[in-house]
Amino acid sequence: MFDFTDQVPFDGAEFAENPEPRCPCVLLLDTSSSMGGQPITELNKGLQVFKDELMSDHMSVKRVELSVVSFGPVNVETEFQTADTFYPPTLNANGMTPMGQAIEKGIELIQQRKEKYRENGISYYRPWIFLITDGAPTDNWQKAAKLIKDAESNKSLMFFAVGVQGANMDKLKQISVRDPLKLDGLRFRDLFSWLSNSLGSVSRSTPGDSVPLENPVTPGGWGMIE
Amino acid sequence: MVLSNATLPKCKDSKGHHIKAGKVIGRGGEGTVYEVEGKPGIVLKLYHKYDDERSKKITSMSHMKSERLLKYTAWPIDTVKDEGGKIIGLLMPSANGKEIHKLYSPKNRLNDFDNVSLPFLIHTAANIARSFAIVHENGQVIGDVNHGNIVVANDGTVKLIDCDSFQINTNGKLIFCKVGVATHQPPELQSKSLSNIVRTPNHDNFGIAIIIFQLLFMGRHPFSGRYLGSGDMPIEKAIEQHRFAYGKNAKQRDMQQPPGTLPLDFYSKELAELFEKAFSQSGSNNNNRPKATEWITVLEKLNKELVSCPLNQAHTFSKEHNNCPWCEYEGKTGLVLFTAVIKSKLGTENVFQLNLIWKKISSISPPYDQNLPDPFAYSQNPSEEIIKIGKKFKRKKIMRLSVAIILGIFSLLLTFSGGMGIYPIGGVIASIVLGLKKAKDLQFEEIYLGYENLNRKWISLLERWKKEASSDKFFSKLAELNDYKTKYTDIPNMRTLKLKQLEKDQRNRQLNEYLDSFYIQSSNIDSIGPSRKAVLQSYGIETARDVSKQSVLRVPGFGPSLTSNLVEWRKNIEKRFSFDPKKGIPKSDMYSLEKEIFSLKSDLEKKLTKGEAELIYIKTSINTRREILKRDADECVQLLGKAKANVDYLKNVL
Ligand SMILES: Nc1ncnc2c1ncn2[C@@H]1O[C@H](COP(=O)(O)OP(=O)(O)OP(=O)(O)O)[C@@H](O)[C@H]1O
Ligand SMILES: [Mg+2]
Repeated sequence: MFDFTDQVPFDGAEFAENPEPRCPCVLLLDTSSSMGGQPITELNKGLQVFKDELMSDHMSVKRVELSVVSFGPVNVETEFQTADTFYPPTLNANGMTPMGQAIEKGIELIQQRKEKYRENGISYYRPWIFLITDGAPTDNWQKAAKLIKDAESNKSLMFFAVGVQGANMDKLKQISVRDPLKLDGLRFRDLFSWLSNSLGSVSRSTPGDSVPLENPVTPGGWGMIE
Repeated sequence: MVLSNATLPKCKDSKGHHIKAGKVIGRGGEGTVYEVEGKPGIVLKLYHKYDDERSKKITSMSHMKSERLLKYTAWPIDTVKDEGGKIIGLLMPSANGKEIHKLYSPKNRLNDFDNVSLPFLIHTAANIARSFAIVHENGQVIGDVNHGNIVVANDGTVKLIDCDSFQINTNGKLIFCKVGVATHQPPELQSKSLSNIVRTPNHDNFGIAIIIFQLLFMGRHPFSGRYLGSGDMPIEKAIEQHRFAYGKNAKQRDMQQPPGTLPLDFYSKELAELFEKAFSQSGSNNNNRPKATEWITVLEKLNKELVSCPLNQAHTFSKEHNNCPWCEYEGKTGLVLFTAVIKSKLGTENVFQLNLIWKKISSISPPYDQNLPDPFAYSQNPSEEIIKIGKKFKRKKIMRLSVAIILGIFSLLLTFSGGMGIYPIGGVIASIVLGLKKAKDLQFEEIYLGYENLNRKWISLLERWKKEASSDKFFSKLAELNDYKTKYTDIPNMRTLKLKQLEKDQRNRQLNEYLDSFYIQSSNIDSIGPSRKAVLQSYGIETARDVSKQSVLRVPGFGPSLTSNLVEWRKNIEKRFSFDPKKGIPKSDMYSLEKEIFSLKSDLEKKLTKGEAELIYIKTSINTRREILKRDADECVQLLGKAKANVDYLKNVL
């Protein structure tokens, strides 16, 4: 009499254990050589804070999924997973700034992840891509910019760009639909704390809703608009 | 930022009594909830902002409170005002337990609840239905039913919190509920502004059906499924369009239930019908979703008809299944859904037998010794494709070498001839050489990165293996049980020791009583006249019991010789004391000793009896974890070995 309607797919266990709707977020992190020294150290600490803050929120820990992609060169550091199984990689800085390629990779990862959700009947929130850079693309970025514009206009993606000291904000403006933000000093930890909070409010809303985010561009906030 | 309590305003209840906020318990969008000092069981909610309508609402609510409401909800019992008399918060009963989403989620529940079994889930679902029924019978509506507003205690009792958001009817006048989490709102309210809408029990009845579904279908949302159309299908859109993924109309509405989920009639036909009714279009059109009371009946009936799995104590299922479906489900997914229900065998007729229990415990074999495979145990051959690339590399290397030689000859020529025209040619050749090398390096880099990624994955698997699949937990539990066993066998010894101590105490008590009956005042002691006696008395030394070398020496005017006179006097009295065992140990002392022994004994018996099931449970979960990780590891090892062979091969030809 008892019969599962379908085979449990091999990777279905993670969704059986946790069928909550997912909010996928890709971090695109610039690890070109100019990030060396203090910036990369602070960025690594920031990732740790990010994990801890997501873990401390009982909805985020079930709903927010992270993937980290470093670029300089492009490398998928961690695949999508919830914060409890996410172990922040320790990033090293060396190489160029292939930002265009990194963005394309991020979009591709999100496509694949959404496919997994669909196969497994898991609902999802609008995915986030969060880019942090201290330079300017050294590769062709026009295609990436077009992909982002299209995805933003049909509401299938939210793209945020943050420039660290030295970033070419003009280029970022051409890539991102939203105004890129300039990080105040090396306040990566505040940035990730904000990101965790924002993803937290998203993950408590309903998939599809638009959620007002706390504005980081305030006196004392980590962000500035240039 | 959390306000420190020092900056909180002074609070008074409606009768003017001071209310002192204690620790912060929780924080929401509208207020912060505190313990109340000196009032266990009552909590205080202070609002972030003043709101006139809400003040009226909670005032009326506090007048409506009743025992029935308070049993199932954190209903406001009183308003709280600041010194100026403005309403700034409310008092309510505290709700102990965890939010409902922690129970329906297989990821959380085994950690957050003591015992999770199917009967427990059903029992909790029925209690939630009761809480709804009571709110409705009072003419009120919950409105914002959601995963965080129902708190479940370890015994399955529930309390609804955030009651100040309910829709309240005071003498026919409605104060609205202006909020709602869309995943739990009915189709007719989707994509509507909730601030000005009359909510009805039929709306709540949609929310309760969602919650019950989530509890019984392992955390799945009934409107989250495979959407066969194109584009995204977020939950609230699916609700609005009646796309119940498990229903009989699902296919018609381009929906399919997610793979590996329970069929709708898994528990009973009646339950399936209630869900169909609750989530159907007619449920919203005709205002006739199943009422809270209907759920209670069906759930209670279901709970009576469950049978237990012969293999796993933790499994119970509807008797219509031939085999235990949970064994199959857990086997397929590698998840553990339920905790072993541990039945204490401490009935009156069942005498605890240590030997028997211990035999059972010690016969549980530890999890199999198992290691992850070594990815580099045997060397694999590089793949065809890589060999091809390698060959290309080799060809290019030869070419590069020959170009370099030519370049060398050119420079030699250059040195000898002193001609200038050859320089540009040298430059061109050099850039070709470098260019070739760069393209090659990039290709190698990409392959190498792939290898590094796999390696990282492998390392994280190893870490998880150590953390999640080691036998340590098993052995430490076993050691703990062994410790209980030692303590248990030692109980008779311990009792004897304690009795001896009591006897000794008793002897001391009798001696003290005896010494206390000899007053210094009325005794003849060498060189101690009335005035010295008076001095002693003023220092609290009145009877033989009070006399000791130390105590007397402290008294001014009493040197060693006077002191020793007094001590001698006491010694002589002590010699004449004889212990009367017949007076015995006071009954109350005996009673508390026996009580202590009894509770220690039954505590250990309980722990040992439970221990067997716990140890089996630990073992099974270790084995299950291992199986899952092993599956991943096998796959990773295969790929990693290959990747390493590829990289090694290429390094050689580079
Ligand atoms: N009666 C109670 N007993 C114990 N804890 C409570 C009680 N009521 C609320 N809490 C805790 O305080 C938190 C906030 O409470 P509540 O939901 O009432 O606040 P709120 O500001 O109205 O929230 P929301 O913005 O979700 O409406 C809850 O999540 C819960 O952890
Ligand atoms: Mg509220």
